[in-house]
Amino acid sequence: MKNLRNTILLAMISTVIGVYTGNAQKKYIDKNANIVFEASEKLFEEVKAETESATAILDTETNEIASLALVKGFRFKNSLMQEHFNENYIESDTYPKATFKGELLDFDSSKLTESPSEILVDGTLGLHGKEKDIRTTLSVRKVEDAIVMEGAFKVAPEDFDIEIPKLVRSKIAKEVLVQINFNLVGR
Amino acid sequence: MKMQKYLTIAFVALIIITFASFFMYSYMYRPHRNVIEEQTVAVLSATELQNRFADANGSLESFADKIIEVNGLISNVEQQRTIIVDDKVQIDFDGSSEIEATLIKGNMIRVKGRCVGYDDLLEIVKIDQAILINNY
Repeated sequence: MKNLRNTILLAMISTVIGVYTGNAQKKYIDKNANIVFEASEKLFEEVKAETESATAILDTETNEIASLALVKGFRFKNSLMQEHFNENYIESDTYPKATFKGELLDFDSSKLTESPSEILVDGTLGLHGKEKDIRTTLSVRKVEDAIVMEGAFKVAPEDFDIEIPKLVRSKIAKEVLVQINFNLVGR
Repeated sequence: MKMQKYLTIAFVALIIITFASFFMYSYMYRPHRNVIEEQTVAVLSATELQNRFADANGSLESFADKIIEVNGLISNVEQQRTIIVDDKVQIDFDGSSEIEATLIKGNMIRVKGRCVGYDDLLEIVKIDQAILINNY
């Protein structure tokens, strides 16, 4: 009898705990994450592409952030440039994804306000079958129930073994500026 | 007489250059793919499509960047022009189409769009530049 009571008590406690932790939002997701990269040189045609269908996930318990962009989802103004980018430079048939896995340092989601705070992020960018460590600051703020993140960092094509032919080298910047804009909604 | 010969050569050269630059220009600045005009490669359900990608990586090449038609139930209407079908496929509608008001959770839907690839973070297939074919 006592045993049964204990079992019921235990079941009740675990249910309460389960419901409680289940309600606490831990994961924030953006399914339409915005990523822009630009490698334009002055006087030459704009080398810029944008995607609005990348994925970003933030776990506010572990402060881990993961993002994935399908390379074919990047749109250029010039369709021929887009084709060359996919076929000759980034080889999107072989390497369809660009990924980022990292961690927000000294981040506490409960302390977020509507005024942006600068958060350091440490992680790895994977692209074209290569990986590179990235350390940058993100501007993070709370907008209603969502967490908004904005940031920019620079990478070089050779970091990812992407070769730019001599013929077009002068038209493409040595450093590529990557801008991100995530609007993460609690799930 | 010699003068006239030079003029003819110059004239012919001019015509050739004009044509060449016209073709160069139309090659370099040709329009983006048009989903409406392009032929559909395959018609399948959202679940079928997701299974193909999730099961074998081999099928990855067969649909990525291809124009396909997908049907299923709307499981979620996200912000902007994005819906999720059967929790398996994310559809991003073409920017120029205005249809969001008619898309309701639970509707049967059929869309045509470009398959972008498989997102293994969310385990969904992404389709963009989509146009609505059926919605009921």
